[in-house]
Amino acid sequence: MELNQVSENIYEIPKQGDMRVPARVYASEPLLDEISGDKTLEQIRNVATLPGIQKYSIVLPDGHQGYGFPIGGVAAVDAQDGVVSPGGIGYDINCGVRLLATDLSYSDVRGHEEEIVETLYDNIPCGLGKGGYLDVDRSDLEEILSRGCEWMLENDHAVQRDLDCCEENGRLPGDPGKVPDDAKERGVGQVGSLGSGNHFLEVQRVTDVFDGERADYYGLQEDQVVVMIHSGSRGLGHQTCTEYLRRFEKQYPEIVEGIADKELMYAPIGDDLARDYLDAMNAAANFAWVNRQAMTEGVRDSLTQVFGDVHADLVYDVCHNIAKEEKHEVDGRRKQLLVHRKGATRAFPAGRREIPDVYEDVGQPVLIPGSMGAHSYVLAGGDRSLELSWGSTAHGAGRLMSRTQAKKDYWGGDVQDDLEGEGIYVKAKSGATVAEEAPGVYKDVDEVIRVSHDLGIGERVARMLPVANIKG
Amino acid sequence: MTYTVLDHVADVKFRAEGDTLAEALSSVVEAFAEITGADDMEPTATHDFSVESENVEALLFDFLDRLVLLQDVEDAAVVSVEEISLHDMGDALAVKATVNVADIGERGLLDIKAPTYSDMVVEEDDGWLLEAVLDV
Repeated sequence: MELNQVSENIYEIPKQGDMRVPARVYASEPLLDEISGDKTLEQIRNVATLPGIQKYSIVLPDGHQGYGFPIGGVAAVDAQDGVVSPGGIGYDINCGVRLLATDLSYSDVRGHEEEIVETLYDNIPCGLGKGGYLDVDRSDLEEILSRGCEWMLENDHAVQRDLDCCEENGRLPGDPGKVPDDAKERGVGQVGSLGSGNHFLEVQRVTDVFDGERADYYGLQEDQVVVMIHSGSRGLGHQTCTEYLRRFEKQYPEIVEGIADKELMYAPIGDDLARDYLDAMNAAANFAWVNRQAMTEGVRDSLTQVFGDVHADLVYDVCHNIAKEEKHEVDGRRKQLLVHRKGATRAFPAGRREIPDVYEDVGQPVLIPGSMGAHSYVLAGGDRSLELSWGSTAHGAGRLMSRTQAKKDYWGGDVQDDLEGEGIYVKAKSGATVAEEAPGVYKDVDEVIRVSHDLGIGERVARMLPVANIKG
Repeated sequence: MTYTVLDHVADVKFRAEGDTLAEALSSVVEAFAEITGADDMEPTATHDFSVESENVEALLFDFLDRLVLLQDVEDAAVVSVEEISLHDMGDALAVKATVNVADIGERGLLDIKAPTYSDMVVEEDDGWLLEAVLDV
């Protein structure tokens, strides 16, 4: 496949065949080598064939093979004449990350790591099966799908800052009536549950502050203890995507015939089915925010159990699997676009109206988790992100090794022992999950962040190391 | 019934084979149980379900979807297959299945998010070969 270097860390697949625009890859040479090792480039070339796509399809530095779209993929389409592709959003609608800043320092928690990890594990359900931190019924669920974190605030499961510092204030205009019934059945017992796979809840310590001014705005300082939550819309979002994929497939057989990969299936935005999907996607996004907010309540209660009166303020909450209507500049004109971010984080710089007031002068926080043995990062939306990536940057380290290979190469108990030797306490429902998520199966997150920073799409503010981690 | 769990960089992939499509779908159940980690659990009940789809690819997708739903909605881990029958209805294929299940309880099983069409293979040659990726 032809791939030309445009400038440092920017490569381009030129427009050819059915492509409507070129495809861009933002990566260093070592990351590009890894990206080229699977179907990522083929997938981003396919994304460039979507009707209504603008400028170029994009792979971010943590990109790897996904379904239809690559993970770490961004595509902006015309909001009037373009299409919506559930594969460009992902099965886990509004999978995302939130960060809580506590008033504890690392010295406060040293010696209590096991107690912290056991308390969190006891309080917050994880892994396969029913059970969430909050008990809700179907009537509550309808409200959650419609009103997201506003429902949490009204029912004393959130404080105002939790909404003020959440992307979209924790609510998009969702329609519960468009969410499939089976999806609701899956979701009703899962409000405040972590799930499994790469989802985690992690107590971390801030080890480095790179940008003191922005760190002050974000409420972060060295040696501070923070808590990161990575989870999504659980079974409700997964089932919503699954069922709409099938509806698209049945309604648009001619589109299925003409696309390179069925997972890239799409519907014209103006069609009723596309609007139904977007209404359902927004409702599932509301569910995901409520899920992370319920776990936030679980974290606060757990920290209080262990340490007494502790504050844990929300720094920010970001989606990394979502499509959003946003205005961007295209050929010198402001244009309404539907920006698909699949394993990609919005990274708006100062000046965008979507940023919470408290961060409007410094740009939005961008939360990027590493593996359970590596740094996680807080970035700020970069000045060049609007020009280069529709205001987006990476979402994580990106996997290198398959889960089956990971289980051959690692044993969960050994991984836990090794990490404990580094002062990182891990508890998981399944030893296999620990092996599958071993630090060695991920790309070098520091290199992903270096590329993001050097490109100016997401700029380093601070980084953290894990102290205690729970997984499904 | 035979199956293999295959390498996939981010998720899980399997290959299931059988002399007939029904046998290949039985192998799918066994692969699914190994992937979640429930294959060595003691069954405590059976669960019946049926699926009707427009072609074999869609049937495999919908069949996997029912297994995923069973775990999330019924809180039942799929352990093994009891019986599967296939009916060709002309414009659709219908499957009736009985699977052996166990209570998930505190067992640390892998949460399968969804079936996918990614890298799906449906081949009939000397028997049936099915491949699919599950989103985890």
